[in-house]
Amino acid sequence: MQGLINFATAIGDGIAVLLPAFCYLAACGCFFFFAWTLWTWSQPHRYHHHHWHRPWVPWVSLILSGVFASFPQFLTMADVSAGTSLAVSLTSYAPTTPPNASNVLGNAPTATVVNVVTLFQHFFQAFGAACVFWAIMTWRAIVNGRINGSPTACGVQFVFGVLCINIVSVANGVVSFFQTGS
Amino acid sequence: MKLSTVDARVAVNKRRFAPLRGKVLAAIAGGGALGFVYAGHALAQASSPSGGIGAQLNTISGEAINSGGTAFGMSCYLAAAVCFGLGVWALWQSRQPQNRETGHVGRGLAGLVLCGLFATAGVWINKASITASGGNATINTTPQMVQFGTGG
Repeated sequence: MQGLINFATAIGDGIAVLLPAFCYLAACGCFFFFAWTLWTWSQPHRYHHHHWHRPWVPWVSLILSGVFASFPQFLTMADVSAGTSLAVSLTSYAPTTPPNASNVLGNAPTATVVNVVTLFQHFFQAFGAACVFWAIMTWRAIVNGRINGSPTACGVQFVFGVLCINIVSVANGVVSFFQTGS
Repeated sequence: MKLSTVDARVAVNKRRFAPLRGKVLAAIAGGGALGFVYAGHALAQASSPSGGIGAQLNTISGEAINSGGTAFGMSCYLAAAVCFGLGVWALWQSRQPQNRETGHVGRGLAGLVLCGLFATAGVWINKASITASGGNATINTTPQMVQFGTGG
């Protein structure tokens, strides 16, 4: 169990490190796409441009460049909307110490469930943040007409990611929902 | 080569390596046991290693940010130059008698405006950040990791 937690925490660390890099590159790409699309629209052959009939496309990319450039604040806003007010920020890389799994069993099965979720919290949070990032990227691709997909599915993925970030609160809520004793 | 010769060689080699068979198996079993012992030690560690996956990915992401940022800066520089040059050229062309009604003025103005947009890309990304999430852009060229506070 301890080894699995160590591994999951290490993977979570990897995701937490890669995410700002992806956000940086995505912000740069979105801004360049925005400005270059406006430039191509100013050309005489703009009516043949494949984004010409969707005038909101470059502006969506401009806003998303801001979202990616301030992704931790955006996640914090999403957490506030989810009701937990969990603050997300950036810090210099430092390896996360995995929690100790020796006291995983609680006084009741419900406590055990919460304990297990808490042990894997770091991985869940990093994975949830990556889910939110990927949901936004997929939604942008759908809006731009580059892929066929469902914006609703992106919304579901977004909510799933936010729930993963707040996984302990969700687990406590689910456990309390199923507690029938006095 | 005759098959009978091959068979003879196989038989000779079989006799030659027969005493080693048990020892090789013992060596493999011993190595496997040592591997399990080592793996057991690795699985039991309670603190994150400093040279783990995260450290390596931190180096990789630093390289990606560095190269991506350089490419983005170069692209914006070139795009600003292209927009300025073609914008001025479009304005020049708009004054020619044969080009009075083909949108050259609009192209020229767009080129000059977009030249400034490309040249100040970071400022506009920061403005977009304030619009999108109410705060300045925090993602920069320094490799960092996402940190989650308490309360989740």
